[in-house]
Amino acid sequence: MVVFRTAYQLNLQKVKMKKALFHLIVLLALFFTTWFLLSRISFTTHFNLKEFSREQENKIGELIWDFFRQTEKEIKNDSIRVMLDDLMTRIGTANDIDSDSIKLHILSSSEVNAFALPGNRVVIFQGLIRDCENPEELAGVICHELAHLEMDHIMQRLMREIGLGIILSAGGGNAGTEIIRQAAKLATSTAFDRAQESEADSIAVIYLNKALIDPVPFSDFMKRQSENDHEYSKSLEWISTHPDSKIRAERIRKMQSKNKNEYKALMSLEQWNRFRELSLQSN
Amino acid sequence: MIQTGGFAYKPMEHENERASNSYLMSLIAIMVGLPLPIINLIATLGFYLGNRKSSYFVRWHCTQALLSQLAVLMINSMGFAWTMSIIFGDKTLSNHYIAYMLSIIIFNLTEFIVTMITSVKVRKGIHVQWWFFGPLTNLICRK
Repeated sequence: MVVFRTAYQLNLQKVKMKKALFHLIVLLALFFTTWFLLSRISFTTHFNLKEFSREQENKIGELIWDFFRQTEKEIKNDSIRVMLDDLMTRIGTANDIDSDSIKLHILSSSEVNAFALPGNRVVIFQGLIRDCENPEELAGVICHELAHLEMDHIMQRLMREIGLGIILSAGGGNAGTEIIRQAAKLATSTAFDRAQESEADSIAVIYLNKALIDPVPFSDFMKRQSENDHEYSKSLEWISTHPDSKIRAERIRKMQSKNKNEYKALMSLEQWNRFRELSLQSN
Repeated sequence: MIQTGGFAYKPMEHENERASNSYLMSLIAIMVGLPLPIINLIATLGFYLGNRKSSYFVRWHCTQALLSQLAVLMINSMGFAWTMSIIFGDKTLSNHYIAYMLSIIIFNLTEFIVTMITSVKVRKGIHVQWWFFGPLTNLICRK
């Protein structure tokens, strides 16, 4: 009788357990179905959330750019502009990037640096153009910055380092000025994390290949800069903020070894020399 | 979602009151302006621990209230972590995130309404078993 009662109790326990398990499965299914069905609604498009955030990004980019414009002189030369526009059009057309939406600026500074800003802005320092031996090297750096823009690395970085303050700074005020100063410092002097750098390198190689621009000079540029010991070596910001340049240069070469494209020169040596001359003269 | 039925015995008036209060604990925590799910859980857990030696009816309902708060805590914490990673991390606002937040609002509201109904019914001495949490309480709570 005792054995029978124990077996009965065990059986009852099993039935209760099965019931609880069945209810759990139904509840989980209900929750995930609700989530799945709701996620089919395109909230971001419906409420223009992406447009709103793009507008904010443009405003933040504009504020940071204004900060640079106040401290450094921007080089504005029609011949330089035409050459850069040609380069951007070639990269943009091949990679479905609206090149007209990218604002490319050259700043008069001996620093070897280039960086991307929110709102589709790419800033190149004169020093970087001086250190590029051919247009393909410059195109590589530009593609790397375009990749950061395309992957939204800049806003992610600013949000992580400065937080919501960067969004609030778009509203203006004294506190906003200080935040913009911090953001400007961050954009020029702090590296993205390694994963983002590797991603930007990989995408840059894809962009270059699609535009039939040889990525090997981009690798050479990084390698050369990391070994460089000329007078400007102390201001090699672009390289020093991007860790493991040698490794990255090798990685790009390795990636590139799989591609067998026939590359087309970006411009003649004469045009390139003219471009450099104009860029450096405008100091 | 909820089932009413008989209990193993007819609870006394003071048992009804205590059992009903276990559900009110989570509601009171929200009403006094502490919407963080952990607060509701702490309030319910405190009430559960305070009634460990109470009658079976009281313990049963304290356990059901506590288990339901644990489930809410889990889905709400996930929403909280996701929101934080959007604000401070590298996650972006997406349809999946908005849908998840709407889902947890729906589940929280349902839980809130069911808690209120249960509290009223239990106060009248009616035994209320929730979907999933009732059978689970039956497995955990000993006479």
